[in-house]
Amino acid sequence: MTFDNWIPLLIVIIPLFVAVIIFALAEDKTKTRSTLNIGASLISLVLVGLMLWGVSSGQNYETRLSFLPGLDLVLRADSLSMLFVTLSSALWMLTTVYAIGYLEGSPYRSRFFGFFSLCVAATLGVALAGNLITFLLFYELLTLATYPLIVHRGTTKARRAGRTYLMYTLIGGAILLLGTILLYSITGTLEFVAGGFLSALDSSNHSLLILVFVLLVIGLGVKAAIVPLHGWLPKSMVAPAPVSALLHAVAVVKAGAFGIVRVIYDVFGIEFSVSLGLMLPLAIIASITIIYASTRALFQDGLKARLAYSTVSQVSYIILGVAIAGPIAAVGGVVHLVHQGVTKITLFFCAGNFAETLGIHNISEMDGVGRRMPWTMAAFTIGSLGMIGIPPLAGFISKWYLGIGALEAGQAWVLWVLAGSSLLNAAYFLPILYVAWFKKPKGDWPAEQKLGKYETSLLLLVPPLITALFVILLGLFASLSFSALTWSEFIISKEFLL
Amino acid sequence: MNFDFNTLFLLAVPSFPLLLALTLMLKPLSKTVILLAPWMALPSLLVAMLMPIDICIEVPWLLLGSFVGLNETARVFLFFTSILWLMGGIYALGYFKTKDKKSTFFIWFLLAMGGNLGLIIAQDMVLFYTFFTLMSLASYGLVVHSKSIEALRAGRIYIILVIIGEIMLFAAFSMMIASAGSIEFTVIRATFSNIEVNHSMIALLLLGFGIKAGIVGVHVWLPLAHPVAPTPASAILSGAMIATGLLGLMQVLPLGEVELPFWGTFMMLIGMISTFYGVFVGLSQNNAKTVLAYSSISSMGIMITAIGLGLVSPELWAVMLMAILVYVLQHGFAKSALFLAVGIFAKPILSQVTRFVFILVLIISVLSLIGAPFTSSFVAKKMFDAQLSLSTSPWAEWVQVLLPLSSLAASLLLARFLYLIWSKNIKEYEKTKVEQDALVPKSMWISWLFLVVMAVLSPMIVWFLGIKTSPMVDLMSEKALISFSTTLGAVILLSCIAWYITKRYTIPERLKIPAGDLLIAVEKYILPSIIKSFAASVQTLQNTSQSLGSYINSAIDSGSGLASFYIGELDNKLKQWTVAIVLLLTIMFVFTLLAWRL
Repeated sequence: MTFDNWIPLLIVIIPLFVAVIIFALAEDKTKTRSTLNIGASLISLVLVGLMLWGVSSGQNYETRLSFLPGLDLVLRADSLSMLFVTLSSALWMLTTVYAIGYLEGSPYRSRFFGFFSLCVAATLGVALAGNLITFLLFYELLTLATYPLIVHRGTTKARRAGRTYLMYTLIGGAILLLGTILLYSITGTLEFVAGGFLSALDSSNHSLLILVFVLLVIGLGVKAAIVPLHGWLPKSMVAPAPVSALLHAVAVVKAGAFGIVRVIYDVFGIEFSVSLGLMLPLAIIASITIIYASTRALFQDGLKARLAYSTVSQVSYIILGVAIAGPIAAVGGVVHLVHQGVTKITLFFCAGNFAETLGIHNISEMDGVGRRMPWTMAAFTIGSLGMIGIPPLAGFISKWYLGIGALEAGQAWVLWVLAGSSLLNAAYFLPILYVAWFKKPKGDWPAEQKLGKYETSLLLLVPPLITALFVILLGLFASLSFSALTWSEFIISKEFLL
Repeated sequence: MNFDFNTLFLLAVPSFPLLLALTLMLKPLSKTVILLAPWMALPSLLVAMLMPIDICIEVPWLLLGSFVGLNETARVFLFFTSILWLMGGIYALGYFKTKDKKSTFFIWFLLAMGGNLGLIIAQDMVLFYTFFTLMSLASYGLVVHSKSIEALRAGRIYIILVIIGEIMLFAAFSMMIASAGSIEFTVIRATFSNIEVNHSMIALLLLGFGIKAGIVGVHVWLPLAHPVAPTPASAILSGAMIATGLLGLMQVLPLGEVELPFWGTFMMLIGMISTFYGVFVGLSQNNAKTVLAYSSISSMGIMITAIGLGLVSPELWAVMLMAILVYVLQHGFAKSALFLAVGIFAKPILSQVTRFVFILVLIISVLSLIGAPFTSSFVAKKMFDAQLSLSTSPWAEWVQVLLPLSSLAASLLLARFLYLIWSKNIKEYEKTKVEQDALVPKSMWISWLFLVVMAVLSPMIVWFLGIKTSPMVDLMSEKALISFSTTLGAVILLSCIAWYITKRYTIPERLKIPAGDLLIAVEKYILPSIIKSFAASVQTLQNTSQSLGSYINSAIDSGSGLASFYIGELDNKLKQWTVAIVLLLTIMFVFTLLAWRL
């Protein structure tokens, strides 16, 4: 085995090691812990960069370890996994910086950062998994690693949220396992193949395969928060801001959506999925999720609650894009994995800043916050406009491809879903911007504290500014090589065998 | 990458204002930056004057691969738009009293400027849409600048219509691109001839751009928002930004190439309705700026009618385009000059000579707007009239009858404006007679005079820009002069009668139409019921989902009491160090084992 073949394993192992060391570190060794965290994420970024270069020039990276007879643990870097790996490792880096600032001086930091790294390891494993069983393994590890993060605060509310989370995800995991076993019993292989590996099967199996599909999508749909399986997500926003940020942008919700993309493209194959008649129902479910969750978001006063419902809605763009089953819409869906991640993490970072600096948790308390914290609010504004899909921000690119792709695939109704969603997004984001920028503060902030010599501590301020910059750059220079859009087009050209 | 200086120059057009906007955000009170702000329109003015036309350059690295360029239409638009921004900016330097207000104003001003200038040079849909959105959103900051209750209300209605318009355009653009397979305007216009007409697409386009251009029905934001903005911003909103709706329609509709009789006729009719509707509602207004806003609706109506004629009879488009360009240019200068005059006449002018000069200038600019001889709006209307008689459309005759009537109506409206602005000035003068001189700041009257001169000179500008108009000799014929003098006579007569009536009788309150006309009905009667039913349905939805949620929760709770006990235990365990480490070590062990077995 050459070094190349070890890179995928290394990428997963590094955060795992970091987790173990951090668990062993004493609580007060802040510096060591921070250096370790940031150093590890830097190394990962370098490795990811290396692989990105290799994959784009057609090289293969695969680590294969025997697991069960006939089943290997496979970590493989293909174009789709690279999209997710790059997103995860980049945002891991920023979230770590943010979390160091956010948790400064609070108890149980070793536990927090340990599970945090573990969570990242699991996400990277999900991204790199080369077959369904590896995927499942990391997917379950992700569930377990996230739980302590959600209940981190230890309050009754946090515990209740944590329990709901476990209920949902464990049951989801069980259903996913059931689907996987059923699939294995039919095919005897679980290896992901571009274009799918089921179309060659005898047509007598088709009804069983539909059952498998339904099981897999329900199992994954729990994490992807498809309505009506989304109940855990708004509850789990009791978690500390960096956790919510990572949860909504990359780790849990995205793992579900990514899994659905994987199953459709590399297990069933898009053409086969269409011939089984599975894509239209999925598109309809995704559309219902989009509209329903946006409507719910409209009536939330809690800032994080509104953002949580917004996530439920936006993640279904990804599923919708894939389910439309045309190449252009698929590009829109896949690129939204990245665009939604970067945009939503910005919003959650900012929400965390408001909570940490001024004690603001509700939108009704945000009057005039733009004057007190202009930089944070600027980042929040960019994030919000990106979510609505205002050009030239990242969200617009996704929406544009989804809209044109839907028409190209002959599904004009999707345009109305997108229009309705944009309208609702505007209806729940613009009022926030209005009160923050144009209203006068009502009086003292709920719980103001002075952090650093700027509007808040730099550790909290820089990450959202960087991600906001990315929201702009990913949209403004979408056609450059190595942009998320170009990369998604590269992925789709492979999946659609163009 | 193919790079030449033309790309650089074209991209400089939106970049200058946008970069200065960023600088101003970072250094909000910097005096130099504020002083520089108006001049950011200068590069685009130079581009409009000096750059060769009919170029279209690909900029592959921007957005989804963009196209920028300059053609005859874009050049005229760029020319008058940049002058309006330049003059509006100079005017604003004197208009605001505090530095703080000036600074916030100029941030929005520069952003909107970047959008407005940028959309003119954009030759593809994505770039156009980007700049169009930027302009529309940034104008919100201009509309609500005073933060008064009316301004905030106008701003709310404005932003709602902007978002709705954006979404309609998004849908329409998606449909166009899906059928054309390209985002370039030239390709899109060309595909119309190959495919069946998509009616919903054209309807969406008309609504989306109609909101900006103030087509009757979706015009409701305009008479509210244009007047409440600070005067320099009102001038630009009504002179330049309103015209971008027209530009958008001209960029995407297959004018002169494909015949769309239904939509052409529709636009001719809705345009004519807008023209007269604007006048009738405008006449009952008591605010000079609101009167001007309604006058803009009226003028845009004429141009919508002209575009409609181009859709009905493509063979006439070449001349119609020239007429539209001439008219839009003239309207931009003259209307903005009138808006700027409102700010000047709001100040007490003490010297008798100045007063006399100012009034004279005001009357000249009014005359140039209503189409007096030797002005370009006169030329444009005559060209329009001549084309109407060539058209085979049965509606063209009607429009031909209505066109002179519309001039008469527009003149009446401006007479109303003159009356309002004059009486206000007298009041202002009497109020402050005893106080010391409140001079009109130099930058304000200079920019105003400059625009009036531009409006008067516009026939020459038209010639300079190379727009082919009918020879002046034809237009100065006896018949034309007679028709104009009759119009003028009628206006004076009617104004006198109106003045007499209003002096003698007071108009009953219920006959006065509030600014925003249709909107008031919607706000008062229709909206509350919609909101009520929406809230009710959402409530039901919420109740159902909540009861469903609690049902699921209780089912899970009761069904898995045992499990939840263990999970509770697990919960506690996971918080202990030992457990966590053991768990981790196990995982590590498994991994090393696997790695070793390899």
